Amino acid sequence: MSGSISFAVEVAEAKDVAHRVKRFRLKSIDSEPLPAWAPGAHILITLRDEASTWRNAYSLMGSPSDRSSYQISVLHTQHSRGGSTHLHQAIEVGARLSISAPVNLFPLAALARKHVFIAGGIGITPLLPMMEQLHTRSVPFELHYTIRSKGYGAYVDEISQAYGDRVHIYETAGGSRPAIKPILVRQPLGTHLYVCGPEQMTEDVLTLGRGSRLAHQPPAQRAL
Amino acid sequence: MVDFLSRWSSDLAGRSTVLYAPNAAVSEARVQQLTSLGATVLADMPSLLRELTQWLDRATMGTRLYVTGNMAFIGEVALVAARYGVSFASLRTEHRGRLSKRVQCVHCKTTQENVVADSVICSQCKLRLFVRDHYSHRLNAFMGVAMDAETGS
Repeated sequence: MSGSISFAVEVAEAKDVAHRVKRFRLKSIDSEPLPAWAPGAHILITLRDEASTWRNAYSLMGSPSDRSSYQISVLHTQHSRGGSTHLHQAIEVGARLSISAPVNLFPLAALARKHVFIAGGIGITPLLPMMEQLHTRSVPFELHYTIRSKGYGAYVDEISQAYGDRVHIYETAGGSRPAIKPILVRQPLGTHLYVCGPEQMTEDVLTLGRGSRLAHQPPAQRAL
Repeated sequence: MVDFLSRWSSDLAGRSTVLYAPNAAVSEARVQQLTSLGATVLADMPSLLRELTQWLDRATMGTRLYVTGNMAFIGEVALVAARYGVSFASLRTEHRGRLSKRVQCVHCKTTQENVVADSVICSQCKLRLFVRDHYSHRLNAFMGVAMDAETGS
């Protein structure tokens, strides 16, 4: 899947940002800048303990212009194969990790007139640098972000503050969900749709998009 | 187009808009017929492109564009569509009319319409141009390059 070049980085920061979500900052171990990336890119982290090896993909967040470190957010999944548990429980500041060079299977459509993002839970992470870039370039976008409830949703306050009424938050615990079809049909021509979230949500949005001929093939990323 | 308009279902007709700019060869009767089937008839290509621009301003996601006409016309519509985020690949196009090209002289940048041969004299700088297969979407023109460039004519 991703590039075969791998190299070591050091955990410079590990911080809880929401329920079961931890943000890690991984810095270059020499003074060399890390490989460049663009919003939507991910890295593979190889994790090992005495018994197992895991290779997990995590979207890069933060600013692509910062070449001294990468930032990822890791959800400690309920039914972890072991990787996210290991990251949450065994990896602390100062630890070294083996990562791949960034690969981008979820890039922004550079020529779009507007971007509509549909996110569920930890699926918010690749969208964070996308929104930052669009905001800087004054390109219109809107985000529909579904979370279980406030404490479960990573970065809700940050993005609400930064992007104001372009951000729509839905809390399923309170019975709130986005009405995808009405959101899609009112978008101007030349809008691109992105979806990143749990399997079922991603499938539902894609089916709606294709079924109502709103989009050919929206870019999608599964966040487990 | 007449065939298409008279056959489609009322559902499709309700969701469709037809903009049409006839050329001199089209009969008045044919224009009347198209008008009665719901087409908006425009005097010429510039006014059609203006109307299209206004229409695209209000268009939403899910809109499809179909273009039929000669190559230069398709290219002009594609340029307008691109400004609205509609890529050339997502246009449905059908070529109608004579197979002719719009050619830009790469030396003096003058554009010539309706070129049918692979060589042509530039109307401005009088160089004999070879019409290359290279087409520019941005200029909506083929590339015309001086034929005897090496001999320094």
